[in-house]
Order: sequence, then structure tokens, then C-alpha cells
Amino acid sequence: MSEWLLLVAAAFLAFLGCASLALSLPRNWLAVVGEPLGATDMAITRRAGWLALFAALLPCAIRDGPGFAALAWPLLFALSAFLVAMSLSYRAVLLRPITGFYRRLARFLRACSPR
Amino acid sequence: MISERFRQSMGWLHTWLGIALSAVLFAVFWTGTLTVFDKEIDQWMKPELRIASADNVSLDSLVLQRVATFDTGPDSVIWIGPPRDRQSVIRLFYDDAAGESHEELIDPHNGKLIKPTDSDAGEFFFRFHFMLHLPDGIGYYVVGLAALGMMILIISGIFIHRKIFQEFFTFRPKKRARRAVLDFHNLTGVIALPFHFLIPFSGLLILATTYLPWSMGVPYQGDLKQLRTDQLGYEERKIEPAGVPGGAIAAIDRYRDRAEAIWRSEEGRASSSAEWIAIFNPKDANAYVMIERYFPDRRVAIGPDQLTFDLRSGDIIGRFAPQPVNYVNNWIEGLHWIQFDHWPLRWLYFLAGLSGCAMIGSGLLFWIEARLSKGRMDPASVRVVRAISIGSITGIIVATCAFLIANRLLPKVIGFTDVPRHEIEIGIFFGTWFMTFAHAALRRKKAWRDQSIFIAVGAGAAVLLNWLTTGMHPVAAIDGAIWPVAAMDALLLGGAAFAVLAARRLGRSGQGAVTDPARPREESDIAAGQAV
Amino acid sequence: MSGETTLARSGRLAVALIGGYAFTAGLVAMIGAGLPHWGMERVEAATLGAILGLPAYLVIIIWVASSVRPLRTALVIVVAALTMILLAPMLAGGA
Repeated sequence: MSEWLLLVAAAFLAFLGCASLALSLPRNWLAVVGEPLGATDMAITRRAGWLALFAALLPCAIRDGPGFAALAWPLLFALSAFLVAMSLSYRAVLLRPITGFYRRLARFLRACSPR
Repeated sequence: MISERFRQSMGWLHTWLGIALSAVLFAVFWTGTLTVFDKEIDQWMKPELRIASADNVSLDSLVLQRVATFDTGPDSVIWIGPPRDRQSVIRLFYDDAAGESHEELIDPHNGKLIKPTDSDAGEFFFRFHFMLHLPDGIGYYVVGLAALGMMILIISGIFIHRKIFQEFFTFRPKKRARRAVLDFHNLTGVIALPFHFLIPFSGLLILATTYLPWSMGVPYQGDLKQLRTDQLGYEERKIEPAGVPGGAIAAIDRYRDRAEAIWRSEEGRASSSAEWIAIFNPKDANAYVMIERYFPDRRVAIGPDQLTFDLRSGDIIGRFAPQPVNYVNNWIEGLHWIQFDHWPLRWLYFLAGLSGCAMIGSGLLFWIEARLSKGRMDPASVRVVRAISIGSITGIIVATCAFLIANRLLPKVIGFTDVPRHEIEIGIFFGTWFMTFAHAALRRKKAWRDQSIFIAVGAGAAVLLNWLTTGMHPVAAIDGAIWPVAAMDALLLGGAAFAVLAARRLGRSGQGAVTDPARPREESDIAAGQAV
Repeated sequence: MSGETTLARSGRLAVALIGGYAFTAGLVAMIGAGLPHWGMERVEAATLGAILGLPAYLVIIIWVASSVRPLRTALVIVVAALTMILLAPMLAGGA
């Protein structure tokens, strides 16, 4: 059971990472959100993207050890990148929950940061 | 920074290697991708192997009696392969006293002999993958050259693209056909880049002694057999036969269990099954047993891990495990063999293999269309080049469908000819493939669409014929938990659906998308990809 | 590069493939025969040679294809290849 959970976690993180990295490019953000990508949004999205992508390594390694993780992680990345590219070209709105989350996060951070 | 000159030379290299090798590379990638599911193809093409898996199989009660009847010489070796995750039957191999090889398959539920349909099935794709069905080992060298070329193509491909990061997520199907094809080539190439590089690399490494026989032999004064023994601990006889007849072997299960327990405790894994049990010097007083994992089930690195037992004392008298450099080597080779049990990873391999096919095919397609739009080729050359591309991309897929259909249509025993059944299947594969080239030469550009329709019809027909000849339709396969057949049928139906979509799209774009003149703005972008 | 004749390009390809092969063969043999002198087992050394030889081949091909002075590059590769091919068996003999 936990094997499946770890696999789902790895796949989710890899997809989130790829989607975030793709959205940190102005053209893709514009296609999904309909507004230009601001500097804060870009910084948050890109950093979160790298973080999620590398975090996906962890469940891979816990599940099967480093020998398998070294294969599963790049291939999960490949599948995620393909799915992200396809959703961007056919159904960009599918990625809107992710941009919505980052915009709220950006607003929250702005509210927190002292002037 | 990379200079423009360097980039240009890489573009030149990329273009010409691509043209020269695409046809071979596609064939190798396609058959390699199929080989990911070779054992599942076996079950589809040899219905006798569709046996539910059995747990805790006792080899002592199922095969030892049978093994005792084998006509073996005093120094023979009998190999017994217990059931494993993807292969539910028991396999027996031995050479008889006259030196002739025998293979038997045993039902793990009742010990009965299985006579499978005479087909090469997955084995055919496996062998084609590195030998191309060419005589005298020519195939090894053609595939080796193609693998080397593939790595150069990957490296030069990285250098000629300025905006790799953006290409990870870019596909614009609504743009002109040529732009979309280039996007697709870049996307499929770049997302699985490590895979596309490691696969040819590991493939060459597997055959290192074939490609570098002199160099590998130098430390051994040319004795490659000794090198292989040192690398693989292979068939090295631990005890010579005594020449005195011994009794029949009474038990091997206990040695298998002991070996598995040792591996389990050392690796801390829940399961660790033996792959082979080899009985050396059977019927001799000096008989002994070796338990081997050439392909461990829960590890990427291949073995072999071998434990040798003296039957008289029960002691472990020999133990082989690869040393550090060879362990790394075996990890790299193991990632190519994919014999481990890891279903998610196996499917990812399959998808990555398909992305390789897509990358090679779209690269070739882009090159042809780019040249055509510039009017640089005369009509006769266009016809030849296009026929070769169509035959090597869609043609081999059509031939694969024909191979499966022939397997289901041919009777199990063929009365009217002496040609073995499996050779007729292979003949039909190559005959069909050859005809797809002729068809492409006749039908020109329309052949893309035609052959997509052939694939859709052929894949659908294969599923239908499997149902008619074995009574196992996809739902029945799922119901009976015969997953290999269910997955094969699902992939065939999915492939058919995809081919229908492709045919529709090709039907639309056939009207003139290719002839429209390239727009200057995109031309500079595209130039990076062709730089001839 | 882009102004080169077909003959010159074929020459580059030939040097890259054949010269590169000779270089790789020499290097793999050198590693296999040489490292046992520093205590590595010969099966390990031979395998290490194969693992390192392939990337070396790739570097040579890229180098020849893009070299500004292809003749000099070719000369360097051929000389290095021949030296290693001649030296390696002597090293192995001494081990």
C-alpha cells in the first residue's frame, strides 16, 4: 500500500515541478492566467518548481532505493514534462489551479512582508 | 560561450547523421520498445503460456523426477528456471549425452509438460533489436554504429538548440505542420534526454567485448573467455565429475531456499527469488548445485550472484559476486536489460521508448519537409527518400501488426510445408515490411495516411483474432487476471485509436500545408535545426 | 565548416569514426593493461576501460567534426592512437 502512496507522491511532485517550471515562462503563464507574469509570481513559481521537482526524488528513493530512483525520477520527469506540454497546447485551463495557488501565495507573502 | 561556428558544425553533424541513421535507429528503437514487454508478447503469441502464477512451487516434487530421466552425460549441466514474476512456467535446459540442446517448459501447478505454439514471439523483437536479423553478425556492427550515432545526435542536438529550457514545454500543434513537427521533435527529444543517451551507451557497453575485442583482450593476452569468466563467474566448474555414478538428486528446494534467505538478509528485501538452479555433473558421485540470479528481481544491477553448494556436505563451496567497477558496469547494463520487477518503471520505459520513436520519426519527417519546401530535391529523389522514410516509420509498425495477425491465423501445426512455423511468421513480417516500401513509392505522400489506416485495421484485427482463436477477449483477460494479454490488447486498441487520429490529421494536412512558403521569422528558428 | 567541400567533410567523418575508433581501442587497452600495475584487478581494469572508452570516442568525434584545424587534429589523434596501441601490450606483458 505504502508503495503506491510513494509512487503517487513522486508522480504528483514531478508533475507539479514541471508544471511550475513551465508556468514560470511568461508565454505559458499568459496562456493559462490571461494576465502577464509579474516578477514576484515568476520568482515564486520557478523556485517552487525546482523544489517540487527535486523533492520528487525523495519518495522515489524511499520506495526502491537509489539504484531504482536514478531511473524512475528522470522518467517520471519526462512523462510529466510531456503531459504539461500537452495540456499547455490543448487545455491550458487545466493548469489554472496551480497558478491560482501561486498567486494566492504571492499575495500572502506580500501581506506578511513588512514594508 | 559556444561559438556560432561550433554550433554550425554541430548542425551539420546532426543533420547528416540523422539522415544516415534514422531508418536503422527507428527500427532498433521500435523493436527495443516492444522488447520491454517481450514476455507479455510471448504469452499473447503462445496461448499455452497463459497460466496463472503459482506460489511456493516445490521443484523437488514437480521436476526432479523428470530431470532424473534426462539422457545426460557425466559432465552435463541441467538448468532449472523456477517461476518468476513475469513468467509463470518452469523452464528446463540441458545438453544430452550426444551434446544436443533441449528445452522444456513445465506447468507449475501440475508438473505437466507444456508444448507451446512454435513462434519466436518476443524473442524475435529482442534479437532484431541488436542483430537486425542479418547474417554473420553484421547486425551487431550496424546497430553499434547506430548507437554511437545516436549519442552524437543527442550531444549535437543539445548544442544546436539555444533555448532548451523553453523547449521542455513547447508544442504548438496549431501552427504550420513543419513547425509543429519540429516542436514535437525537440519536445520528445529533450524530455527523456538522459534516457535517450543512456540506452545506446548501455547497449554498447553490453556488447563491449564484441566492439572492442582486441582492447578488452589486452590485459588477458587475448583470452576473452577468461575475461568473461572473471566478469560473470560463468560456468566455471567447481568440482570435476568423479567418473563414478551417483544416485538421483533428491532435493534442490532447500538450497534454493538457503540462497534466497542469504540474499534477503544481506539486502534487506522482502523478496529475492532465484533465477536458475544449475545441477552440475548430474548422475555422477560428484554432483553439485549452483543457485544463480543473473537478473535479480529487486535490483537494477544485473549479477550474476551465484552460490554453489556441495551436495554431499551441504556446504557453500563457491560464491560469486561482481566487484565494484563491475557492479557499476552491471548497473548500467541492467538499466538496459530491464529484467527487474518494477511495473511502474517498466511502463515508463515503454513510454520513453515510444518518445524515442517519435523523436526519430519526427526528426526525419522534418528534414524531408524542410528540404521539399526549399525545392532543393528533384521529384525522383523525393520519391525515394519519402518511400524509405514511410517504410521505415509506419512500415515497420504495419509489419508488426502483420506478424501478430499471422501468428493467430496460422494453424498450430502446419501440414503443407516443411518450413518451421516460426520462420513463416518472420517471413510474413519481412514480406509485409518490404511491401510497405513499395506501397510508399507508389502512393507517395498519401502513403502516410494509408499506412496509418493499415495500422489501425491491423491492430484491431489482431485483438479480434486473439479473441476468436483463444476465446480470450480483453474483458475476459481482465476478469481472469491474465494481465499480459489484457495489457497487450489494450495497447493494440490504443494504438489503433491513435492511428485513426493520425490518419485523420494526415488526411487534412495532405491538402497543402507542406507547400506553403516558409515565413521568414520562423525560418531563422528552424535554421538552427538544419544548418546544412 | 559550412563552406567545406564534400570531400573534406567525408574526410572529417572518416577520421572521426576510424581514427576515433583507433584512439578508443588504444585507450581501453591502456586502461586495462595499465591500472593492474597500481593494484587494480585486471577484470576491473578491463571493464573500467570499456566504461571510459565510449565517452572518449564521443569527445573525439565532436572534436574532429568541429575542429578549426582538422589536419592537425587528425594528426594528434592518429599519433596518440598508435602510441597507445603499441604501448598497451607491452604494459600487459610486464604485469
